[in-house]
Amino acid sequence: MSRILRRTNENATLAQMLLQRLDFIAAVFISLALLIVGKIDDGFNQRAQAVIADVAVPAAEFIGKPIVWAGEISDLVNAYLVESEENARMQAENTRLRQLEPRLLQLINENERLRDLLSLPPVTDSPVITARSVTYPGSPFLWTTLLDAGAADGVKPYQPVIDHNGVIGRILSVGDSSSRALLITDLNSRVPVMVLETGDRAILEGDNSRKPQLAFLEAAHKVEPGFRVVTSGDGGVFPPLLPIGVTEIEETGMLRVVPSADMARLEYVQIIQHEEPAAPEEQEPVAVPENEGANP
Amino acid sequence: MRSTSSKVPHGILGIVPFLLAIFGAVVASLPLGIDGGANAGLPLSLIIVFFWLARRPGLLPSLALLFIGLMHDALSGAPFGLTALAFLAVRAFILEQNVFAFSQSFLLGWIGFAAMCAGVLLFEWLVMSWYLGKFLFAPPFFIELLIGILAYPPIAAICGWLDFKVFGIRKG
Repeated sequence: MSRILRRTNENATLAQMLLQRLDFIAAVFISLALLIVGKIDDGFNQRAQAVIADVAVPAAEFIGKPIVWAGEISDLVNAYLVESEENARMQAENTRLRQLEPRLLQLINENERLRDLLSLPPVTDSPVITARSVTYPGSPFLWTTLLDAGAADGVKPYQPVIDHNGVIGRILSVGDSSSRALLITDLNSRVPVMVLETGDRAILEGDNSRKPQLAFLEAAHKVEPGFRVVTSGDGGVFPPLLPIGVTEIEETGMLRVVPSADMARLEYVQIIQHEEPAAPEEQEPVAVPENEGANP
Repeated sequence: MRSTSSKVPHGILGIVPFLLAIFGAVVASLPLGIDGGANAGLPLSLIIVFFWLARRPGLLPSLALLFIGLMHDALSGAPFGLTALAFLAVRAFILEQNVFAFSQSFLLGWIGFAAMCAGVLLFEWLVMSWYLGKFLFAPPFFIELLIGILAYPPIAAICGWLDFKVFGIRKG
């Protein structure tokens, strides 16, 4: 009897071990398959992550509330401690901005008149969607962040994302209620830019460091440290003249851009609902009147 | 692979390590600001997974690790399957090599975690470099390793306290 019991126990243990081994092999196989499919089809990763992110973002927001509250309390304490100094600074800034207001209005009017004279289309402000950056944007190999706005809010892939300081990136993937932004510092980010002071055009290439590099700049450029870099609008993904940062030259001579936005401390961001202009072949053919183009 | 069944009757409480690891993956994705902007994160779920695999491996089966890893990847934006594969490698190492010594003393656990964390980060760096087609900027990996090593003692202490409170039998 005891032999039968012992044998039954041994069989049960053996079955359990076998099950664990199968469990392990299945998990490794699934992980490897996902990794390889993701490598072959990049869209697979984005779609799968968007589905899970829709569930994970509310959880992250809930769990992250104490961190947000701690930050707010810290801001309040800071504001209290430096209240008088901060008030004086803000009053001075307010006065300066009020002095600039008439000049700004004058420039806007002048700009509109000149655009009208040149028959250029009027500059339209694209609508924006405000979202909160839920996750920490940095990891050793990626610079992306999850936002708490998704397709239900009107977010679409490739829409530019900015914060109050400037461009931070563009939308990479979209779920129903969340989306992921690819930051300009990420290895996969490429943004057509222009140096405001010289008009030189280049490509801003992320390399996972905090300062993306300026590539494809003309050899005879006259860019110096501290020059402002803005979007050029080439390619149509980013509207022109959005501020990005200022130039910096490394000891090796490599030109980098210090982003105006602090990527490590993103909070509220705006997603610009900028519509990429249709490609020429997709545009409606324009009917040309028979007499148009003929010399008078 | 040796049997990983535990003698302690766990019941529904057996899900605690799994929930903790999921919680760790979510917390690690939050903007904690502990790296001083160095672009490195806190390997919180790795610490939790390592701790419980060393103590009670039966409570973190392979499929649970797969799910935790996928959750981690969805939050961090890493390629799907990367973290799960790393966690499964940790499990295989701990169980196959019979290195239950990690649960025998705190110092051994700490040294074991440091070695494991270095191995996991090296694995992730290699896979990501292959994935992206170029060698990645390495310094953030060292900073993440340092953060992980420094964060292990307090997190392991909390997990140890939970282990005692929930399962009642002190090990190690």
